Amino acid sequence: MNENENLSAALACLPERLRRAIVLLPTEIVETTLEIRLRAGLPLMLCGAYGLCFPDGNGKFSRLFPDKTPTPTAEEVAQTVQALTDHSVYSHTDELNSGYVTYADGMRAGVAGRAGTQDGRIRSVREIRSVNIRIAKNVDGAAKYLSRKVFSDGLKNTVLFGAPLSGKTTMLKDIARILSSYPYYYRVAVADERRELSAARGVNIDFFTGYPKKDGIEFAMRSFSPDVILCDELGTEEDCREVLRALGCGVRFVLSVHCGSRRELFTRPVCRALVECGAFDRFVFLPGVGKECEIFDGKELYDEAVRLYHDRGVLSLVRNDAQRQVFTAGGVS
Amino acid sequence: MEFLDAALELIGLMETRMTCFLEPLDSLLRVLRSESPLMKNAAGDSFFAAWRSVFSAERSGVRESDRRILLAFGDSLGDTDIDGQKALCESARERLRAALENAREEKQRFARLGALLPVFAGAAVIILLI
Repeated sequence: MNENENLSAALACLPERLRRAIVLLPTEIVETTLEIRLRAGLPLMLCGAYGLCFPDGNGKFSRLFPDKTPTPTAEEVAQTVQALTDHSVYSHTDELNSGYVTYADGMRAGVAGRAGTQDGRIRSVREIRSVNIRIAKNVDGAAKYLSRKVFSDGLKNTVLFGAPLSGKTTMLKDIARILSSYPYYYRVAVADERRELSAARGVNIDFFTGYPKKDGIEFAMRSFSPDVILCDELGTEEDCREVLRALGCGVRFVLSVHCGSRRELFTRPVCRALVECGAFDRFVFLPGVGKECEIFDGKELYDEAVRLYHDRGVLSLVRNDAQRQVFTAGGVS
Repeated sequence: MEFLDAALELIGLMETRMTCFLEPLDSLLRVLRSESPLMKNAAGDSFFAAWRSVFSAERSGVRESDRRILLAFGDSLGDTDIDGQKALCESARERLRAALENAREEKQRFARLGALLPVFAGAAVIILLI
C-alpha cells in the first residue's frame, strides 16, 4: 500500500464524525499525520512531523488545548476497535492482549483498556478507552543512504535505534527491500512478530509473520538458511538472548530497538547487551523523520562499554568473556 | 426441524472456524457460503448483510421466534474476544436446541393425534348411524 492508501485505511476505521473532523483539515496536516489518538472523553488528537494538533471539526486546528475539538465517546472508541479488527475482535485476541491491533495488512494501532489476568498473564482486554492509530509510511529509498554507508562492503550486524516515531520500522522495511533485491539478492528472513514489516517488498525475502521472535528466528535459521534476519523492536531479554544465541551461528542481524540516545544504549539492559556482546558492527541512531541518521562503530561502543562497566565488574546479559568471544567470532566480519 | 438442524450445524461450523482458525467474519462468510446449505445463496457483501438476507426473510415451516434467535446471534458476532464468541455460540445453540426439542414434541403430539383421528372418525360415523 502507498502512503495515501495507508491514510485512507486508517481513516476508514474511524466513526464518521471523527473522520470528517480530520478530512477537513489542511492537506499538509492530513498527509503528514503519523498517529491519530482517540481517548474516550478526551479531545481527538493528531501527531505528525508538525507535532501535536487538535482539529476543531470545521477544518481548523489548534496546537493548544482546545475547546471545540470533537471528543470521542466510549461508544466511538469501541466502534473504532471493531473497524480495526474487521468486526472480528476475537480474531485479534492475542494482539489485543499484547496492547495492539494490526490492521490493513501491517499497520498497527495501540489499544489500552481494562485487562483481565489469569496466573499473571493477560487473558482478555475489555472496555478499551484509548486507541492510537498509527499510519505507516512505506518510503522507497528511505534507507538508500544508510545501505550505501553500512552494507556497501558486505552484510554487517546492525542495530537501528531511536525514539518512538523516529522511523525505525520504515527504515527496516526499506532495508529488507534493498538487501533482498538487485544487486544484493541476499536471502532475507523477516521475524515479524507484530506484523508491521509484512508490507516490505523484495525479491529474496521470507516473512515469519506473527511468529514470536524467538520462534521466527529459530525457524528461519533451521529451514531457510538466511544471510540476514531482520527483527523489529527487540524489547525483552528473552528476545535478546535468542538473537545473541543465533549470532553465534553466523547469520547476520539487522534489528531495531527503542532507545532515545547514544547514552541510553548503555543504560537500557537490552541495548547494553547488544553493545556488550561485541558482535554488532554498526549502531545507527535515527533522530527523527527528515533528520540525518548517525552511524556509530560497534567496536568503539563495545570498548566504551567495557571501560564503563566491565572493568568495574558490572555485567549485563552477556555473562562472561568466553561467551563474548563466541559472539565476537561469529559476528564481526 | 430440518431448518433448526441445519442452523445448529451452521453454528457449530462457525464456532470451530472462529475459535480454532480465528477466521474473521468476512472470510468466514466465504466458508459458510460453500459449506452450509442455509448460507449458500446469502446475498450481500458483508457478513452482517448476508446473515440478515438469509434469516430476515420469512420461510415456510420456520417460526419467527427461531429466526429472531439467529438474527440476534448474527448481529452480536464479532464484538467480543474468543471467550465471548464461544459463549454467544453456546447460548444460541441452547436456545435453538430447546426450540428443536419443542418442535419434536409437537410433531409427536400431532402424530399421535393423527393416528387417533381415523378411530374418532369411525366412532363418529357409527354413532351417527345408530
